[in-house]
Amino acid sequence: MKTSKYSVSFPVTELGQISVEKVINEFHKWVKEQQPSQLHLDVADYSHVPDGPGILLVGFHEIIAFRLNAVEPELVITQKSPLEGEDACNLVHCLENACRYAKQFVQAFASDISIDTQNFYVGLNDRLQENDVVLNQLADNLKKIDQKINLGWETSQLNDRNPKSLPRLKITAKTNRNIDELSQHLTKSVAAAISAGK
Amino acid sequence: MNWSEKLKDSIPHAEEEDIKKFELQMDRCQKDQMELKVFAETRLRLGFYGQRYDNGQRYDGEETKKIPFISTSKKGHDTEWDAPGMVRIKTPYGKITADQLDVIADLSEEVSDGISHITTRQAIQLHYLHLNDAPETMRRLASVGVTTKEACGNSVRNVTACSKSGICQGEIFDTTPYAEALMRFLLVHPDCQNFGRKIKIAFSGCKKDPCALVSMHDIGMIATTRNVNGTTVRGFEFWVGGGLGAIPHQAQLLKEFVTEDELLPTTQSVCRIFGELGEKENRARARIKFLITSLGIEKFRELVVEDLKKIKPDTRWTAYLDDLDSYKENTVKEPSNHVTPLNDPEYTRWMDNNVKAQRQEGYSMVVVSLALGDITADQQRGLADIVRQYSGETIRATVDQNYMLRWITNSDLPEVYKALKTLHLNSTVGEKIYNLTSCPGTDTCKLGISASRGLAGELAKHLTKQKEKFGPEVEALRIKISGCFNSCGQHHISDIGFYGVSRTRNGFTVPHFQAVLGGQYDENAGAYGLAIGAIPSKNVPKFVDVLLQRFVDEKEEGEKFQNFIKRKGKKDLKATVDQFTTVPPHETNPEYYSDWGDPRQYSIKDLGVGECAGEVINPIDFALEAAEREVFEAQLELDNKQLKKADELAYSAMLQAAKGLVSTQIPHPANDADDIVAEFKKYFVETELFNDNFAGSKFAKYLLRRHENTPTELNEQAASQSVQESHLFIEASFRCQDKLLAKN
Repeated sequence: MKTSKYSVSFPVTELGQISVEKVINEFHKWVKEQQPSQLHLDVADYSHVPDGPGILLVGFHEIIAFRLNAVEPELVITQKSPLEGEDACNLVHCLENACRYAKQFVQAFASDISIDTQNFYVGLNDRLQENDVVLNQLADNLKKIDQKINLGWETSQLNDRNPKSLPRLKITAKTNRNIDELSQHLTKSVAAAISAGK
Repeated sequence: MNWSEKLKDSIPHAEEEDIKKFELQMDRCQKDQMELKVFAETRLRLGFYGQRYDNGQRYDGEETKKIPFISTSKKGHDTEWDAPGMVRIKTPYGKITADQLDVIADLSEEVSDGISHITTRQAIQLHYLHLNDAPETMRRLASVGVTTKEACGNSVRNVTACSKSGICQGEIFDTTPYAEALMRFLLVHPDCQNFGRKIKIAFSGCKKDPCALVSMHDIGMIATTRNVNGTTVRGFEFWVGGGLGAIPHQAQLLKEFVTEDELLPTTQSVCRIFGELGEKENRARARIKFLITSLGIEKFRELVVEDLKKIKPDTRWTAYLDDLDSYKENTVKEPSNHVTPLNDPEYTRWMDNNVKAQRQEGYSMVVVSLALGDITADQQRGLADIVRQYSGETIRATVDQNYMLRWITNSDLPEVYKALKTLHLNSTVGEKIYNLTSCPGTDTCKLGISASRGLAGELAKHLTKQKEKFGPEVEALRIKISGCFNSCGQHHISDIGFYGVSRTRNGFTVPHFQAVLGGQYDENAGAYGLAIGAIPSKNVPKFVDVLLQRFVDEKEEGEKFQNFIKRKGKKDLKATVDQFTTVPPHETNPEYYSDWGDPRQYSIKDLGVGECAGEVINPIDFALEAAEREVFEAQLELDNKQLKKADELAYSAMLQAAKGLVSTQIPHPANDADDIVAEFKKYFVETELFNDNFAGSKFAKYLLRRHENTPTELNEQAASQSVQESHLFIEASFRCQDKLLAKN
């Protein structure tokens, strides 16, 4: 793969009193207080679309979607601008990024939400290559990453999906880590180690 | 691999060439080698539009902050390269195939925000798209026969038509082939490249129904027939000069009966006159409605008659008429009159509100109601599968921002319902009051003043909660909302319309909506509503409650809403509006000072310069840009030792420049090389206008010589000379343009 755009999705396991308005407020706060590197641009409300993307924080590099009213609520971080370079390193970067946003989101709604970091999804936001090829490469790269962080990640394909949907794998971790801990595992040093072949 | 390689067998060659040209223009723009205003209009004419905050600034509720975009390039005078924008996908008369639905859905996920948005003119918009993704987007669309060309900018926009064309019980005949032929004929037509603003065209199969809204279009056709010597002949009532916007105009009848043969040339002529005489400087008065008002319809009619005598005949005017049957849709199922009932009250409601019988016995049309015109990628792909399995090959987008499935055999209706339910597309609101129409407003539009989508979403929820209390006379009403006076939400033609305005109250700017009541949707948007007064956004739902209750309580037996509004009059209705105009102090009710769905303190500081019309670019600017690009390509071909191609491109570049110069002298320059050269000779060589102060007619001769003598054999030196001469000719053309400007 030459360039890659990934998406990471954390299923919501507990959902308290989070309203659409609260999420919109929170995302507007993120835009207001953003770090220059994040480049958050706008907030979009699609809560009126059944099983839709929910509330979006639209950034230049990625879109963060909280699918509050979805059949299976989830927090999805999708890259919009492609990364160039080594795939596995890009994947680490993307996972690191996703964990950082998920951590920030969970902190904002501390008592009202918990997300699943033991069973979550990683996919590609790109259909240039055939799904089979992409999924095998993705599984290989996730394996490489797990060799560095040792969480016992197993990947599996999702057979019940529409074959036209974007390619996506489920990750099941033997060792559960909350979003804080997972964030700490996925650092730039992991990418550097993979890149150096260590 | 890239998309160009992957799709090389499915993208028409000409389309791929055009996309490559645009890639080159993107590159040239980023390197400051292309005039920004020309690039901006080029981008717009390819459907890539600006979006709110693309000037690199955003108001955060307290102050306006600069957005730290990475690139310093611009894609328009006030538009940052990196700022995401919108692409409008042209889907003529709303017709979309299953494969096209799939591709648009895929793109919405990969380059947009996961949503396809149906517009009020049957097109589809994707938002938050990076311009760098534009070539890939165009390629993937082109691979399934979809274009974005002239979806925006000063051009002929998407041609619309009744979504029921061909299946409607009341239509005179199916307008599909005519809409398709006219769309193809006018797409990038040379006579449609010098408008001061856009032209919108609509076709209606009948006079009475609203589906095509002919009266509010620049050009509108209503199907009709005449008996000529005992034979029924098809034709159209030809209407011109309608339009909404800040100053709405009803279309006027240009001709009572335009035959099939006359349809394309008459429309071409109207476009030519608009291009020639329409306003170019003042954008606010540059639509055809203003031209017709100033000339008078009689004079305009005379001009069309005169112009038709001058237009060079075109075989395409009638060629499509030999093949009308090919436009018929293929159905996949045999008709059936048997409908299996489902023991599900929602299904019954869906049948009542969303399903109508087709003209063809045994088939039904199904409205797939979409909240605010939005649909997810998964839903759209699922819908594509339903189209493949149950319908013909296509679906149509409606002007009410829904989809319409056609050719559903009646016995399949329960299965279709179940399939839609799986996709969460089984809304039972049909086209009733709960299914509101709205433009993007402040969500994404640079011109939006108030949150039209926010209000529409809120009203939809608010009215749905009261569903049980509404009778059919209320349920049948339509609510349409625009974020500003430009009327993209078509508020003038709904029973209850609103458009966004702002007011200063208690020292703050407060979002408001102007109420426009009693517009007529039927009879092709037969009458426009009455502006009554501005209401604070947060009071609009309460105002709607009172207005609906007044209608229920005070209407006379069988009285329609339009008549009720007329009878009550502005003074009476203003009194109802006035009950809701008070804005409480900020300290007690701060929510009045923010808009629906947006917690920021309201402000109009994010208003930008609209790109609806684009900047008016003279044809010579486009031509000289194209000439420069072509000679650059010629140089590349020369470097690759493709001598013949280099020479041809160099010659073509000179022709482009010459044609551009000719366009400053006559309104409709020819397209044929012989004619271009003849006109160039007449206006620039014989007059010595092109002559250089030092070199005299030397540069003009480069073109004349090359035109007379196509080289049969080329060596590297000859090809190189050809490219160099082309360069010099184009430089001379720029100098000539300067001379012309100085002269004027």
